[in-house]
Amino acid sequence: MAKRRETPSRKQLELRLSGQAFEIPPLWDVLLIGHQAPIGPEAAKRMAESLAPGQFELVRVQKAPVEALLVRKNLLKALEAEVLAELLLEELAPLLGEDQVVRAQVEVVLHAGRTIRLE
Amino acid sequence: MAQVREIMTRAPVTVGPWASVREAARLMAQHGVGSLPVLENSTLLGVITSRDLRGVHPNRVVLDVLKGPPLCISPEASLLEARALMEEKGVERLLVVKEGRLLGLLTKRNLAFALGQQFDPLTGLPRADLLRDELERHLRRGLDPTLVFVDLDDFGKLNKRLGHTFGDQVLRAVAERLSAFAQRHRGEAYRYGGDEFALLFPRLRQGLLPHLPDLLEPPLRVEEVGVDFSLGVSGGRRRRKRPGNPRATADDLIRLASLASTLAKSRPEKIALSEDLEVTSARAPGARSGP
Repeated sequence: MAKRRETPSRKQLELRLSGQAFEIPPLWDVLLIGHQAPIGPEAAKRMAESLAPGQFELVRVQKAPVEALLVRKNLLKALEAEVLAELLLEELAPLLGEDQVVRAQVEVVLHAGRTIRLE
Repeated sequence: MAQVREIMTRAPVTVGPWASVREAARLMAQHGVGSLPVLENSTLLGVITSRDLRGVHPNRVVLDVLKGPPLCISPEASLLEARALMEEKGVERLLVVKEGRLLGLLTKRNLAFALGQQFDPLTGLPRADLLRDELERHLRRGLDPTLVFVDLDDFGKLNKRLGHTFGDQVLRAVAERLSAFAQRHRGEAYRYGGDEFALLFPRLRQGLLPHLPDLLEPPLRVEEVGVDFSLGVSGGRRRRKRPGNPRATADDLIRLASLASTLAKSRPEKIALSEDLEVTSARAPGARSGP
């Protein structure tokens, strides 16, 4: 009768690495926070304060499904909070859900033109 | 009369504003409580309840669940004050705070249990202890409340003639009539003891006296048996705060209203005022007409 020959078990651990620059802050310009999102407005504000002190402001909104917006303060110099909120809620509606946190980039570009009469 | 400090939950389990909802729920389950005061560096921010946590993502922080400023009450407040505050604000918990320091938590359940012992099970009316407490509270606030003592006529004879179960029916019917009257005139009805009741109104008597005869009309009948009662009135005459000790004044008001109700028994209109006792004070030693 042939004897069974056991070979020692061989385990290998394979490591895969990938790296990417972490944006500071990772919030872009506006964070739209749903009513049932895993992070609430106060927690989001605290996160923003840690990553970008004094740069973000919390704007509470009554419109479902969003509870609040965390907005870069610079944006509020160019736009009223209510106007910005209404615009974002309307345009980003397909992405918004009660349990979602959506980040948005908002670029403010000023267009101006003048005519100068030459003598 | 019991104070909030006597029935509050001492050293309640607390939670920080930056703890997760998951952690808050775990604490509630671990300690078998339905609410947690929220403290940050010993500053009281509010209270969260198990109802607040319902349907909220467990990753959220407590501060994002907190609703409004905390509703606080002093440890020296009476149970009736606590009940009034809970009813007014529609809440089931009050934080017991003194000089900004959290001392305990008062739940509606604890309050109901404590108050239940001071309510008459037959009529559902608060008892004499609560009347005295409420009377003192009004006096401390600088009011001169009006007290009406209600004394049933020949209740003992009725009891003997028709039995105690009928007597109980009579007491319930009287309590119903008094409660309805008190409600109409923003007062409170009490069962003082035996066949005596009281009505307390936190204001002067002038607006109330014209309505007192309504209490006696139409005559009360229980199973075709007429039930009469007499009314004695004290207090409610002073526009300025009463001097002296509210406790002693409350005792005086109760005594005078009780004596006036006895005097009213001999009158056809069945109503007597405390000042009417002056006439009979010579025959009733110790009956001062001060209050």
